[in-house]
Amino acid sequence: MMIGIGVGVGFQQGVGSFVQIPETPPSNIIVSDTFNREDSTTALGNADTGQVWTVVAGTWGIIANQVYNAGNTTNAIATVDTGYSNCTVSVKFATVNTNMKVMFRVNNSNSFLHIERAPSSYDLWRNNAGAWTKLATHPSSATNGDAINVNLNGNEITAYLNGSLMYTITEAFNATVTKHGIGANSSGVRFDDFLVESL
Amino acid sequence: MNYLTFPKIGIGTMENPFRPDTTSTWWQVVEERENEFVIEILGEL
Repeated sequence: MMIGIGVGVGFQQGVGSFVQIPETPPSNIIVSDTFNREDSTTALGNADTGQVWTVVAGTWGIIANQVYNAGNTTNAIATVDTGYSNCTVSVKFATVNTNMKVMFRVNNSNSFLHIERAPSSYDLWRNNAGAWTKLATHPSSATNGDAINVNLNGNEITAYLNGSLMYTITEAFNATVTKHGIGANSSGVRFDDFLVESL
Repeated sequence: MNYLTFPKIGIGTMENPFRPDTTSTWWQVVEERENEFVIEILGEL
């Protein structure tokens, strides 16, 4: 009889001692890459989150924990298939110069949208099978470390420079394409901190 | 909203892309038509 009571008390104490695990907000990170890995003149490897970088054009490499156009060819492109056409794509232009780009909705080397550093602006372009159209422009000086952020939400595309709005356009081209990445025309520029987040 | 319509110029190459015939430095395309663009002038920086 006394043993039975003791077991009952222990059970009650056990139930009461459950620790509430604080809820953590769900992560919306799809792809994250700091490029903090060994130098390579021929490969980008995998993102920190595991996805494989695919070279669409040119030769890409890692140098001092950043990305560069190792082949020094024009229109070099590297992408990750994120699985998301609607998302936010961010990248840091660590060493900035003209013709470096954040690429989004890249179907192939001749079908994509991108934001490109021009001599005195950041411009949004569409390349539809070799037909190039400039869709927006934002004047700015280029500063190493410029952070470009592109919000892709259906046909609405909004771009920010260092957190400030550059432009918003309505563009249905390649609206369901899920490959996003980077582009460059020369080996001197450096990219860092590539991030894709769900909306 | 400061929407204006400009003729479409250029031949669609990288060097000479299709674009609105404007001298404004900060704009975004609102609507693309066969021979013209409706753009919003966002300012002049």
